[in-house]
Parts: sequence; structure tokens; C-alpha cells
Amino acid sequence: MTVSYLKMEGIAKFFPGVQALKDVTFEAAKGEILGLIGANGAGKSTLMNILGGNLQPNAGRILIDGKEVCIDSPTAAANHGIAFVHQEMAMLPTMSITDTMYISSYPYKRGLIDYKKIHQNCRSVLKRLGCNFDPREKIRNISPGDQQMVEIGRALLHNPQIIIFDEPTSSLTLREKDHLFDVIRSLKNEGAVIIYISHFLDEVFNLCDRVMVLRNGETVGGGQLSDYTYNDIVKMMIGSKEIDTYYSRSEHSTGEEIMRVEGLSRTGIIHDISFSLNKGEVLGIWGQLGSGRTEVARALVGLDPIDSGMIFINIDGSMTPVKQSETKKYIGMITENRRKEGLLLPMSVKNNMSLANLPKLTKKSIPFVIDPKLENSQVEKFVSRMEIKISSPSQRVETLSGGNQQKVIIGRWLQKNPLIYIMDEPTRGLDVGAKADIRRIISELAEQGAGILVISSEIEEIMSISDRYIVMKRGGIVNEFGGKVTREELVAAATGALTEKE
Amino acid sequence: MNLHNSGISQLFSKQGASNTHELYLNWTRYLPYIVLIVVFIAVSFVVPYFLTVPNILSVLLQTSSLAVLAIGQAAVLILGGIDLSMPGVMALGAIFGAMYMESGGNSVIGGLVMILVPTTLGFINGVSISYFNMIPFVVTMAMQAITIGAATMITNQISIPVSQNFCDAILKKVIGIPLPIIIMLVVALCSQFVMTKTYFGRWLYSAGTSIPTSKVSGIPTKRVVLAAYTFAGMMGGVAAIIMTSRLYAASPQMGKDSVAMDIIASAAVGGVSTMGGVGTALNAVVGAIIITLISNVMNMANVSYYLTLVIKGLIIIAFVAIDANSRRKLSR
Repeated sequence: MTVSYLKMEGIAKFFPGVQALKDVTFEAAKGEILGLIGANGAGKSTLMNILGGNLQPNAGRILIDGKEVCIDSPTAAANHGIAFVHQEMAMLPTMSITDTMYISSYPYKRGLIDYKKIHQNCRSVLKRLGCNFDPREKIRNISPGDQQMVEIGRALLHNPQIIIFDEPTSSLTLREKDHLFDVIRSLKNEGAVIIYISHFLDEVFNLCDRVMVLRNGETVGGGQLSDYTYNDIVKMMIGSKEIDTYYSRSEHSTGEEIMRVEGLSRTGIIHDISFSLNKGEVLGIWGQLGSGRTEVARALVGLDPIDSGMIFINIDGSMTPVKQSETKKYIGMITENRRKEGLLLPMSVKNNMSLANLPKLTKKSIPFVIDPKLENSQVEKFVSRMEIKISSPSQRVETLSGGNQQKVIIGRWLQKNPLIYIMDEPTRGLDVGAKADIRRIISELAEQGAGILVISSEIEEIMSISDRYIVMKRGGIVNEFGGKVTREELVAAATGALTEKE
Repeated sequence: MNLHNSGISQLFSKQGASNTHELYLNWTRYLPYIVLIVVFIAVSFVVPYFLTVPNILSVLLQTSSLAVLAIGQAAVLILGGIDLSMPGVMALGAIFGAMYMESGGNSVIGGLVMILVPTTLGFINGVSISYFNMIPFVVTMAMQAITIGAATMITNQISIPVSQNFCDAILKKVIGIPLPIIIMLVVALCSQFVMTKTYFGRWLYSAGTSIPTSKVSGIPTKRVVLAAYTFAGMMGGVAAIIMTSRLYAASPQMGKDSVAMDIIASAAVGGVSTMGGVGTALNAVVGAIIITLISNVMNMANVSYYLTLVIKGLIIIAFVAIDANSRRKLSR
């Protein structure tokens, strides 16, 4: 191995309440591709944001070419030859390729943008990437794969020595991906340090020379990829931590089919999603961020459009096809974005809890008019059943803690009592006690006969409540597992390690 | 109807008033009433006969059409939208109704035309905004241009007189109170009831507070938006009847652009938030009274039309600033 060009030593980073990184050390040499992998929240992005100048570490130092450097801004990072190809492409759809690439660094000539020069530069950079399009083309007219090339082109403008790729393949087709890998390999051959962040083990094995695995903000292993198998890496990613016992679900049998989904598709987002859900069953959807799990949940309740597919719901004993716009009547949806899509923040707990059920809270004698007594009694009933801590039902919901807010949202649906619940990251950002409460409520709902679809990024959580699993990757279902699955199998399926081997 | 049980207090609770945000909000909640009282006292000093029953009835009669328009605007503002087309829509409705009656049509049907034409135009606004995702500001501004242009073209800028019978019927006094004032009160109380006591009202406030949350909770947000703009159109129609009767004629002058500013100023001064989710019909009525009084005073003081515009514009900005500031403190 050649001498290391980049070295990060003892890097630590605290955020309020969490230690995102504790003492991470790694090095990378010129002319090699280092794969950086880890589960959601392992600290990959934090580490690379420190290298890219977006975040400042609380401890540790960064050495480039043997000299200690201070990277206190993205500009400083660029001056040290570090370029960052972001996962979320920062594109300006209505502007040209040249404008998108040069938006923060236009060269001027006599007070005007020197378009002649930058068109030329763009053309030569794009040529290096094997692209032949006109730099004056508008971004919205080129494919996502070509946009990714523009994003890389922007990173290459200032001749970087260190190039970070953060999940660059998430929106690419197979052919575009192959082309991207060729480009990355040629950049490596030109002598750059490449750091490649990915959820997908198959990609890492295909592309990288060396690997480093992060878990909970620590380096847990790494080295030449040829020394490892998929299994070794999966084990390093999840570690030996036992499933936590905040709440463990007891064995129980499930009832008849309550919802069936056939061939749900939306071009470029999800494809051919088919599964069924039974009464009294908790079905876990497991997958990496961006695997399409949230998009499936949203499509089921008509929040996102679909191109094709059927949804059947068991209405009065028979499986009836339900239009996508009508499924809301039978499904209680808890989205991952509590503040934006879950709550009416400036309004009272009462208003928030009655929101989904208002037409049923009316007076018998006068239609449409809300019966305040009925409303108050319903709200009180579910506040006490969910053990929500409030000073009064007219307290503003934004003054509550995250756990109590989430309980308000779940209480809202309990009051409506739908057949099916969909919960996307129901415990995200909550403390341990609130998490356990929510899990207990999910189990109780299932025992009372509801069908529940749960999405979670925490493998311990999804394993502690689910009866059955479907695993998603790149917008499709790749595996289905029963209750006896191991964590290794779930992680392997979602990262592509399992399908590659079989 | 109890003011304390109206929209604002229903939305923003009195609980936990110990923290400063709540205190701040409590203060802004009463601002419209404080302003109303201050303006009343000020005017009664300047105008000696101001606090007499006939004069107050005449002020309320003057207020009635603006108040009805402001109630329609309030529904749209609560939803988080805006309707700039109300004056034009009202004028066109009035003109169609007057033309129908002038050509020998029945007065009752003429009145219905005055309501139905604006309602239909409001419905068109609503469909454009809810189902075609167009921007309220642009759609309603275009609608204002279309209606006022059409109104001027059709009439050749000449007022169309309406029959004495029609006007007398609308202006007649019931227990000493002119009918338009009663119409205003009935419209205000009904709207207040729907906004604060029924689930349509609750849907309106929740959609105005957060469309995404309302959608996820299964509220038919598109239909709520459509209903609000249609209601605004209908209020334009009611105002058209009152205005036509008071002027004994329908004229495109009724729909000039500056009327939209009076309507929005009424809602804003009365305590309806231009950012959605807050306010009631009664707030709009209080605001309309304040704006009418201010207009009267400036009229009496011989303030020029243009200076009046400047002052009203400043009033809108001042009240929107107070509203924005109270929200900023709240969300901190």
C-alpha cells in the first residue's frame, strides 16, 4: 500500500444529547477507493461533513499529505483539494449545466460572467466524464444519471485530490451506475483519493479496494476488501448488541387477510409492490433510507401518486378493491414527519385529537354541529388511555414533548378506530420510555385485531414488534421473512449481500 | 355569541398563561376591540352627534356591505388563501342582476342572479386553486381584471338603475333597523356558527394551519378550499344586493381595485390572520366597522383620496406585522 495521503485522527463530534462520533481514526491513500459503510445513524455522514468543512469536530485532527490542516468551511475544504459529491443533488432545473456547475464561482471578465471560458471548461470536464452534451442545455432536460455527472463535474472543477461520494447511485439506473463506476475508477487511476459512502454492500465489493465500517460513531473494523466476506461486514455493521428488551412482543396468531396490495408501481420510485396484511398482524417494512419504504406507505393512503397497482381492503368480510383516493377511510397514517404532517402545532391537544374523527362527533339532533360534550369525553378517554401528560385538553400541542405529541397523533387515529394502521418511524426522536410506550400501544392495537404496517430504521425496534417482514431495496421488495428471521438476514437482504450471493 | 369562545381563543388556549408567548397572544387577541373602542372614542370627540342612535345606525348601514365582503374574505384568509377578485365579482353580479331587472325581469330572480353570478365566479376561483393548484394571488387578481373589464365593457361605464321597488324592499326598516344591518348580522352570526361550531369550520381552520397534516388526517382539503372560495363569491353576491340598493344602481365603479384593499384591511384589522388559521366572522365585522369609521373621518377631514390609500396601506402593513411578530414569538 502506498503512503496515506489523507488521515483523520481521533475525530469526535457531539450533538446536543448524542455523541455522533467518538474517536474515529482512518487513513486513505492516493489511487485507492475507500468504502465507508455503516447502518443508518452510524456516523458516516457526520464524518464526511467534517472532512467537507460543513461541521467542526469537537476533538481530533486532520492531516493532508502529512501536514495538519484546519477545515472550517466548505471553501477551506475546496482549497485543500477536497470535493464532495452529495447524495441530494443541488440542481437548478431551469438553468443551464454551466450555470449549475459555476453558480458559486463564476469567473468575471470586465464585470460580466465569462461564459465563453466556462462553457469551454464545462465541455472539457464533461468530456473527461464521458459525457457529450452541450453545456448550455437546461438541467431539467437531462436524465437523473446525467445530472449526477454534472454534480460530479462540479466537484471536479477545481482539480480535487480527495473526492467524497455520498450514496451517488440512489437515483440511477443500472447502466448509469456502471458508467458512474467507470468514471470513479478512472478518477482513481488519475491518482485521487476516493471515499465512497454506500448502503449497498454489493456496490462496495464491486468498486472499492479497502473498506471501513462505522457503528454508533466508532470504527469497528476495516482493511483490504479481499480479506472479508459479505457476512463479516454485516456482522461488523450490526455488532453483537442484543435486541433491547424495552418491549418484547409475545407470540400470537393472526387472523384473516385485511389488506392486499398488488403490483403497486410508480416510475422511478417504487415498482411492483405486492404483499398482504392480516388482522392482528404487525408487518415490518425493513430497508435502508431511500429504499422506497416511505414511498410505499404514502402511496397506500394516496399521499403520493401511483402509476399502476391495486389495493384491496377487507370490508365487511370480503376483499374489495379500493381506489387509492379512498383508502384513507380505512387506514390510519402516521407519517415520519411529525411536526409537518402530523400536528396542527399552534392548536390545542383537543383539536389535534379530534381531527380525523370530526364527522362522528356531531350532535344527533343537528347535523354537522360538533357536540362539545361528546368531543371532550372522547378526548379525555384517549388522553387517559394513551397516558398523555397534559395540563388540560386546551394546551397547545407544540408545548408537549415529542413522545406526548406522537401519542396525540396515535390517539387521533385510535379515536377513529381504522382497520389498518401505517406507522412510518413511529418512535423517531423519542426517549427510551416513550419508545417503549409506543411499542406497547402498537402491540395492543394488533391484539385488538388491527392490521399494522410499521417502518423503522432501528433494527432492534422493528424486530421487537413485527410478526413478519418485507425487505425493500431500490424501490422493490427483495425478500419476505417470517418471525424467525435473524438480524443478519435482514441486514444482508437490505444491503444486497444476500441476493448477490444466492 | 361569546367572543371568548370564538376562533382565536379556541385555537390558542388560555392555559399556561404564565409564559410570555401566551401573554403576548392574549394581548393581540383583544387588539381589534381595543382599536374599535379607541376609534369610537376619538370619533365621538370630533363629531358631537356621533353617539346617537340614528348616526350609529347610519354607520352600520354604511358598514354592512363591507362587513359581508370581509366575512367572505375571512373564510379565505383563515384557509391561508386570499381573494382579490371580490370587488369585480360583486360588481359583475350586480350588473347582471340589474340588467335582468331592467329588461323587465322579476325582482326576486334579479336578486338571485346577483348572488348566483358571484357564487359561480367564486367557484371558478376555487376550482382553479384547489384542483389545478394555481396560486390564489394570481388567479384572483386575474379574475378581478376579467370581471371589472367585462363590467365596464358591458355597461359602457354607465350605471344601470334598478327599480325603486327592489331598493325599497332591501332598505326597508325592521323594528327601526335597516334590513342591510340585519342581513349583515344574520350573515355574521351564521358564519360564526359554522366556523366555530361545526366540523366544516374545524376543517377550515385545520387546512389553514397545515394542509399536509389535514390531508394525512383524511380531511378533504381540496373540497374545503373550493368551498371557501365559493363562499367568498357568494358573500360578494350578498354585498352586491346591499350596495345596488343603497346606490339605486349597479355600476362598474362598485368593483374598483381599491375596494379589495378595504376588504383585506377590514379582515386584518379585525384580527383575521393573513397567514391562515386564525380569526372569525365577528373579527371581520369589527374590522369593517373600524375601516368604515376611519374612512368617514378622513372624508370629513377632507383628506385626499390618495392620502387615504396611503394610510389604509400602512394600516394593513402594521396589523400584518403585529400578526407575524406574534407568530414568531409563539413558534420560538
